[in-house]
Amino acid sequence: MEQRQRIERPERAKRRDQKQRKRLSTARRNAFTTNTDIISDLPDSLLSHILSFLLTRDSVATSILSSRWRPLWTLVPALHLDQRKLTQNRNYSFADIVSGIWTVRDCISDPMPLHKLIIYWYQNCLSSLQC
Amino acid sequence: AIQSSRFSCVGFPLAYIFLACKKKSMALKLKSSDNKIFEVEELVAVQSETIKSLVEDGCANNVIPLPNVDSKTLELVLDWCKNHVDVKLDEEKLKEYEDKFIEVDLAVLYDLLMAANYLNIKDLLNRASQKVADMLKGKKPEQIRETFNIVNDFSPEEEEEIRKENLWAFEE
Repeated sequence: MEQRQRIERPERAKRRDQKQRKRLSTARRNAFTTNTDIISDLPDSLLSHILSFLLTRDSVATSILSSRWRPLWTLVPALHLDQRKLTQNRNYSFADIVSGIWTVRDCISDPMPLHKLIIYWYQNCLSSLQC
Repeated sequence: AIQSSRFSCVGFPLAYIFLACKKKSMALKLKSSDNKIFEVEELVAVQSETIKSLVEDGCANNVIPLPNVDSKTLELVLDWCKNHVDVKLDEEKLKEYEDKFIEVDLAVLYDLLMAANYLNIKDLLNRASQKVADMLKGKKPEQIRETFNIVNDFSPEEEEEIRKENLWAFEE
């Protein structure tokens, strides 16, 4: 449980820096066998590129992995929203989810321009819309 | 300099043969971060947009230093490039090659991602990213942390808070 205690942000950043410095050596080669987290050391641009291959639901869900991953989904230059998959649980309306995502994106001072936007919206299960 | 995109034009087989023969003699020298020299055909090397622009600017006459790519990674990357000079040859075979190529451990995948990004080789970058995305897809946070050895540095309260922000993404 000790690992999960709250760590203040500057300390987190310091830790990451230290880890990264080590990473520059040949340590990375052995990382796989010594069970260290190497994927989180990729730069933001690459991680968000990776997330752009996922459905938006899956990329948002990565925000819970660690503090490193928390803001990454907001940098993804693609949104892939499928009403049927997002509203399987009927507690949420598609419009609420989408407008929630837009609110978050609007809060970012310098958001990544969207390269890809896919919306599947089934109104009465008859019409679908894809941009 | 010859742009590889010209080779995608159909209907100029003669030009293709002529250029291919002419290019055979052209070789570039690449130097990895651990100072190994790789001699490669220009056609192979210009799959990298970074190298391509060096060639176009006439900066490729001597050895091209690649301080961010070690020899092990560069060897893999060049193998990828060799197999993508003419992608129209056999799509099925190419896919088979790509699938086999990308079956590597995480440390190598990390190196490939960094190298593909630095050298600007789009198809390799996308294939490697897709591979990582496939490892993330449809998994619970706990499973993902285990796969990548990600340390959860949130307190239970923080975790709850993040979950609440986007409940729709976390519920089954």
